Amino acid sequence: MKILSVDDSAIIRKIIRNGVELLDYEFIEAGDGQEALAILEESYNDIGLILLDWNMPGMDGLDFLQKIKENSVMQYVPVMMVTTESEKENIIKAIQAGAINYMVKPFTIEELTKKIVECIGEGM
Amino acid sequence: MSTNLTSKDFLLFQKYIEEQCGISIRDDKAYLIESRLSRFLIKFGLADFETLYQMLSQQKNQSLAEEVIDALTTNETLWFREKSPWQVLEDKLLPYYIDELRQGKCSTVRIWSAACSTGQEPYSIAMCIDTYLMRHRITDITLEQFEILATDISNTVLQIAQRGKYDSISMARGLEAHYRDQYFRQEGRIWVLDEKIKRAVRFVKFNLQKDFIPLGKFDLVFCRYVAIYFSNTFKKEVLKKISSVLVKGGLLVLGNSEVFFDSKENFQVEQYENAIFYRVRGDKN
Amino acid sequence: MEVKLGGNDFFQKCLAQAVFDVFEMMVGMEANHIMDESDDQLSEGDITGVMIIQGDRKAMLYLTLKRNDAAEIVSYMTGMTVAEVTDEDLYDGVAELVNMIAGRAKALLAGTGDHYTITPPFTIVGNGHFIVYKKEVSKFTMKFSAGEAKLYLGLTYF
Repeated sequence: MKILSVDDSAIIRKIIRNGVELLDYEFIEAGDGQEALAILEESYNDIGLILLDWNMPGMDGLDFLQKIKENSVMQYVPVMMVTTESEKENIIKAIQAGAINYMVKPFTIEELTKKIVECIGEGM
Repeated sequence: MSTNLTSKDFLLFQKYIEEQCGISIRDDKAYLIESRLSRFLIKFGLADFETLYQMLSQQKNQSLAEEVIDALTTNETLWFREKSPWQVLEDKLLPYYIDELRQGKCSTVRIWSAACSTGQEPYSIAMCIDTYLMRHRITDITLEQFEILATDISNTVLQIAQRGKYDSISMARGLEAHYRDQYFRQEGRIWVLDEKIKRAVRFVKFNLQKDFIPLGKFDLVFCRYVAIYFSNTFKKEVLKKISSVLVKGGLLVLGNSEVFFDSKENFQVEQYENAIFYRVRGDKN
Repeated sequence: MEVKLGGNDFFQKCLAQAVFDVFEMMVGMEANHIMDESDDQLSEGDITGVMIIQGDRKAMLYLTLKRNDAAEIVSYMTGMTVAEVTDEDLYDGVAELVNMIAGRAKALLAGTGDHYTITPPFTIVGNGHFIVYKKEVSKFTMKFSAGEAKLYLGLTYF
């Protein structure tokens, strides 16, 4: 099963990779929303979870989320936000837009792995 | 409003938190109290930290106390947390257990790690026992004769614990080099625990509100840094239930800074190397 | 009651706490605030990550460090060896550090009625560069150590 990390920072994606691979999932990545959409179009069936940054240039995380939720097949891929954004109202916005979980940066790998297992384990 | 934590305030809070919540705040972590608790001054419209302290010590507001504990608690899981349980294990308990096993007084030594989280504690127990056997060149007794049951209420942490894989930051939390070198191999950025140690621990989902009797009897119970999250009533109940599943002379280990009032009813307090242990009272079980 | 963003000790303490937290969680190192006269010194370094913070006042938050310190920190964060860390990684890493510090400080202020918005971070690169202010400008600089590395975190109001 693949886990897709969408974040404009290669360093953050590398850190997330460590957590994903610790759980023995296959890691794939995208530096922005457009790239992520292209990946999803091809492999939406194999992707078990999207870890999505909020503040990205161009299409931000919320726009991306709304876009995939409008897509007939992509909408079923679960999404967890991974972001510095911590304000409650924004967390609510993200959940209402369809994110199933939320993790704030900075995070430990331990927390990341727990959250991934929470998302996938619940079979959402 | 003053959001400055004076040294007097700091000492008051340090003491209060240690007594009430079982968390010890190191002197150099005064920042922790100030930055994490300042928001309470604002939230409750208090003038200064002394006022917050008054509120807490009057114990009128349970939810405030809980929020304060929550704000101060870090979520890191440690290997070999604190020196004393491992010392007492090596110096007193293991020689005793090995003797009991050799004399055939029991066939297995049963140890319970309650609220085991991502597995560091039960695996530390297994590594400690295995290393002891190796160091003392004991071949007639093996790790297999020790049964380690590890429970937690959360499926998530259990799933992670069962994998026995850890990232380098998690590994750095209290794991000495010799344990790491002996029991882990590195695969890229991930550390993988030896199968032998993994096999020594059985992970089971368990809610401490349930009846403990079906778990059987234990020689040793680790229940560390979980009761701090419980209400006083529930804490008392859990510790009492533990006393009923300890074998005669069985031992309970709490966190060093955890306070256990009213222990005398079911336990006698023993001290070893500056730490306190609770032996179930002889007139029980 | 509103806590003013400008000239407040409390915010500085939140930032210091944010540095400790970010380093502990993401780098696996304990950061220590070094309190000496260098608090007022120029912070000199090779790479500076910057963010603009907009609260009731506008401020610039920056994190300055030397190249080899940045490389060590990025190596710890990602598990790469220092040799594997590219220039891109360094600039990205320092930007992310200041990004997370600002974000974390913001979270620590939550519920205080005080909040701010932050821009995406950017990085200034130049060996031995330093940042100069007019003396009257309201600002503070904090010096930290993490392992062998030294970092300067500064906030300037404008």
